[in-house]
Amino acid sequence: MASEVLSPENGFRQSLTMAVAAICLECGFESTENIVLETLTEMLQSYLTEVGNSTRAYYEHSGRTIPTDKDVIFALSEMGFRNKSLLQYSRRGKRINIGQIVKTVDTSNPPVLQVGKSKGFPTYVPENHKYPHFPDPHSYIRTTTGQKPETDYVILREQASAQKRDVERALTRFVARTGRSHPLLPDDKNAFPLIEAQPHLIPYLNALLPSEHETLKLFEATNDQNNEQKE
Amino acid sequence: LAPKPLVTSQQGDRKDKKSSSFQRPYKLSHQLLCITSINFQRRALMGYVELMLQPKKSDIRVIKVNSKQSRIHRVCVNNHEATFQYQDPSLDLAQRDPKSRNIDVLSTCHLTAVESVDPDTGYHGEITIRVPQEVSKTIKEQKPLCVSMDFTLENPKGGIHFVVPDAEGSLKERAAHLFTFGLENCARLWFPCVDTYSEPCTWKLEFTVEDSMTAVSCGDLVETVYTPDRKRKTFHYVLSIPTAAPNICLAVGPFEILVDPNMHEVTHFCLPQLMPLLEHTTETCHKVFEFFEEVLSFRFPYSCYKQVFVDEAYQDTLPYASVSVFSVNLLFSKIVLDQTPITRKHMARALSEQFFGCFMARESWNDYWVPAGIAGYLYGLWLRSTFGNSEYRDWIASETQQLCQYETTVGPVVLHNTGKDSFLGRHFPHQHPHTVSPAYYKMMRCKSHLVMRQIENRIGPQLLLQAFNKLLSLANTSAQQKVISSTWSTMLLSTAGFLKSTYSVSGKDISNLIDQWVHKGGIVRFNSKFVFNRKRNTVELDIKPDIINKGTQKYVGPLTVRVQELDGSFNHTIQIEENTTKHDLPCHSKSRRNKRKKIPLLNGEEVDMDLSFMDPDSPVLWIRIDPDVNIPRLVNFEQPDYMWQYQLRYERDVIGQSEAIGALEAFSTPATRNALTDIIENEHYYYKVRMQACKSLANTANAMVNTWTGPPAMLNLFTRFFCCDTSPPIVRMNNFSNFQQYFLQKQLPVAMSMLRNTHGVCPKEILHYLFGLIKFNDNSKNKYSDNYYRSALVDALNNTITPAVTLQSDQKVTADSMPMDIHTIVDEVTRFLNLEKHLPSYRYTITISCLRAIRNLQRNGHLPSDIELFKSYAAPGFFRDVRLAAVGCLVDVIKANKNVDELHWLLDLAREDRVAEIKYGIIRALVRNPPFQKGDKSLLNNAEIVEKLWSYINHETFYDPRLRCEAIDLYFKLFGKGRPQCLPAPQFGVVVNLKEKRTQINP
Repeated sequence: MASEVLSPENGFRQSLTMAVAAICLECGFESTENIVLETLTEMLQSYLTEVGNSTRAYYEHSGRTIPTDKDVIFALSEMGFRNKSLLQYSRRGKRINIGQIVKTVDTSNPPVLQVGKSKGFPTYVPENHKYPHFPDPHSYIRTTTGQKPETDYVILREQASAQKRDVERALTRFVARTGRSHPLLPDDKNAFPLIEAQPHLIPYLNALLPSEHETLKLFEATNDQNNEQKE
Repeated sequence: LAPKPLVTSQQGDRKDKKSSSFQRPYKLSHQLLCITSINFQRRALMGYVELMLQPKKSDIRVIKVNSKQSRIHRVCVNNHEATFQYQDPSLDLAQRDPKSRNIDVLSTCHLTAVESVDPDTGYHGEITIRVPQEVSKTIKEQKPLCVSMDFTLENPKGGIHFVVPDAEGSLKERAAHLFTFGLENCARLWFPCVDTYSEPCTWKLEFTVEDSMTAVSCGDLVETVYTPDRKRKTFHYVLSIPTAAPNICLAVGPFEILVDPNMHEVTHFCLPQLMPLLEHTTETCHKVFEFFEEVLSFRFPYSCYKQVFVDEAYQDTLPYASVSVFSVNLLFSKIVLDQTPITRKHMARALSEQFFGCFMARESWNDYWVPAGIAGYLYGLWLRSTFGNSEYRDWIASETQQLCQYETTVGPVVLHNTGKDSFLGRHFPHQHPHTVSPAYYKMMRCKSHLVMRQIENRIGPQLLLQAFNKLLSLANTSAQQKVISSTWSTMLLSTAGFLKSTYSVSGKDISNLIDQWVHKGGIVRFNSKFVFNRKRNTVELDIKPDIINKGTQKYVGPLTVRVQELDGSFNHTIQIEENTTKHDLPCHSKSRRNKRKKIPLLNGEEVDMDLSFMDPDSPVLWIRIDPDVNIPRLVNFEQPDYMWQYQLRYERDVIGQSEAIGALEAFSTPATRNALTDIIENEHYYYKVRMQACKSLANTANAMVNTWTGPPAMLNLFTRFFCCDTSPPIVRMNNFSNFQQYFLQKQLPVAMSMLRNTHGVCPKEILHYLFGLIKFNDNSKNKYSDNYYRSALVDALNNTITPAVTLQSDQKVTADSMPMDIHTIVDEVTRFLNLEKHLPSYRYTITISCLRAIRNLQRNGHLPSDIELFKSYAAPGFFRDVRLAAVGCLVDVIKANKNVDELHWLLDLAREDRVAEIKYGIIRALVRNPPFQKGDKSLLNNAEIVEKLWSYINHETFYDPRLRCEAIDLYFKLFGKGRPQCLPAPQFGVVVNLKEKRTQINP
């Protein structure tokens, strides 16, 4: 068992089962049917989950993100558990050791990529605080840009056409380099690669329904919207 | 049943049978055509026909029927099985003279072959059915006969075309479909029938097709019945209007169906996924309907009309009774500009042919000009009412010019053949639709409607329309008669019948006009000049007819001459007579230019003119001969350049304007330059004239390159029209909502790119301007597609290419070794072509321009010749236009490189390709740009090519007369009329020398 890698869920469940079995043994049972054991485990799990949920409700209510021991105590007492009996139970004599709990693999998410340096806490916050850290600065700090957007028509057209050409050139070059291509100059294969012509099964479809139709529909749709807004 | 070689009848024998008194011994009253199953995978169909015949003679021994390609399993006459024979001479034309490689011999054989089975020239047919003994009594009593024939058709090569893409999925997903096609009477290629227009009968048509398919055919769909297994259904069509077999068609496919929202009797069919295009394409269809019905004051003869758009069509339009089959490539969406008028014209022409051509068919090939002429004439009327008078006149002028061009270079076009000579100096006989060259066929159609226009001029448009109405009404009356009677023949159009009808309506005899233009071939050619006689105040006009050159004929009769004087425009009608060439035209105005006065023009407009250029003594501004193109003519008129310039600026008729533009190319002066520039700038001129002026201005600028001052021609013009006001070199964002300007915007860069400087290369200024146009082209705010504009820009780049300075074959061409400008051009072309792979343009217009540009770069030595590139685009699986463009480039490579293997490859493709239009396109590309001419010493001019082409004509293309005739044209172009020179002479050393060579000739 130990050699196998367990997922956290299975690991928790397994530990719970072992705990339930130990308690049963303590109470004097010698054997149990599987289905009974499963039922009891399920009950325990539900109970613990409920304690957890309740705890979270408490600490979130008081504006924190990490629970304190008091939160747990509140949660337990709300569910009708007498907290003093917990102490007694922990001091009971014959307890059964359930041994080493199987280690589960930690599959927690890789750390979030940090951008920028997060802000420290102000001085009045004590050092042993349990507050969460500030998020990355870009998510809440706004800096105003210094330069105004370009309005000169010539430069804008120049930029727009340059951008369009760059995109087109990059796309066609990429496809020509990665796919099959036909060199226009056999002596200089890299100079002007033509994307190889691929026959179509139904050639007229692409010819009669070019992609421009789609962009035009979009264009019309936005135009209509604009018109409606004007009206 | 194997086709047996036919012992062709002797020449004299044929002539006897061709006598006009010939009558078929029976009359066809009704025909049933039933296709019981269609197999798309195997490209096969199965069916039967039943012909109801009414015997006219009591001693019929044999019944002759047309059928080709199909396998006939059983023939019954009145349920008695009959024996039959099958003989098709067109399967092997030159069997009488198998060693001949002479196109003259072949053409004669061809005519003999098609006439020997043509039901019009005698009692002929491929199938000869022996009437069983049991039935002879019925014939004696002249009771009706029923001839039924079971047939199957497997992998047909012509007549019917299966389009089955090799894709995954069901037939519906693959858009598999079939349709019938053919040039003139080709119905015999897909079902047994009497394949002539002169034998109309009523029809019952039944087609059983798969559940997902729709069968479209002639007449009314009476019911659709499912077969018992509910997997297939049968379409029952009934055509109660007597119709000839060649006008019957069938189209089966998973069509999407659109009932015209404006006319419910009209239905449109298209292939899956194309519905939005179909809706837009057929939007104006009902207007055409209304127009023709109103003009003819006659209701559309059929109770319904169907338009089917199919892939891999034979030609763009094929009209059949109540159905028109169009090419799918005619469909367009609303963002496409250039295709719109083209498609609408095709649809209108098809509709006019429903009235004349389908409802009223021709009686014989000699009468073909009547329906073709009337349909063309009606189409012209529609053109005028829809696209305007300028478009109409431009069309007439261009058709006339094409006709004149053809007749003077190839030979006369005779519409109604009465003479015995079937060649008239050409390489093909014109007596049969299946032997004429496709170009000739086109010219016949062209001449027909021009003649009809002449008749209109003679008797007046109203009376001519009345005559049409009379023909239609009579036909309609006889069509209503259910019992067969001889009146069905009034549904046929003949030259005589048409003349009778026009005579009874107008009382005018037009037989001299018919004699000159219908019975005789040739056009009129005038060389003309004039002198102004100041004393007598007359224009002394000298008109010399040219009757020596090929394709010309003598003309005697009236001719209109229009003289624009200072006081107005005056028409003179002069009589062209045999011996006089001098004509005096009195002038109305004294030359009194000193009184400043506005000059009245033909259309009543009065304009101020700068008269300083003209001759101070003469009041004549310009003279035009036959200004309305009333006869097919070529006029070579001499008048001084300033008169042409006046004509260009102030003539209000587009024909006169474009004539002036043509004439002014000989006068490259600053004044011409100004006149042309003014025309291009003036938005009131017809856009085609402006486009023509652009080209002409480029030529003028090139001619006066040494004295040209200022920036290159049209550069500033384009800048002013289409570039930003604030930052001139940058072109404005495209806005094509003004169509005239759009066409000009497309034309100007192309015209500019034809400019050359003193070194004979395109000026750098222009080239960089073009690069700028391409760079700054922005269509993002335009509601029309700019694909035609972009392809025009590629064409413009293409035009700037001039031969490379050094042409060294062994030198490696690399990107670095190219001149800078060429490098940029290649780069742009590569980018455009690559972009088309993922963002294709409508009909791949840009790909086509790019392919041509690459070929031009190769031809001029900037790129190494590369045949594989074009071969890859010519392969199946590409769009038709792309394939044809690639084929054109291939032909050019073959011609330049003398590449024998590739010519074989191309000819093999012309034999094996599935698409009829591609096969025809390959041969036509070779005819247009022949790799060698007769007598050229070329590697290509060898015996193997002769053999290949010969067998192609002789037996391989039996299924498509258009292809066969085009191949004959090619053979004539390549080898001339005699025996090809590359073959050994046949006469010498028959026994000894030729033994080994013979094996070479006949492998």
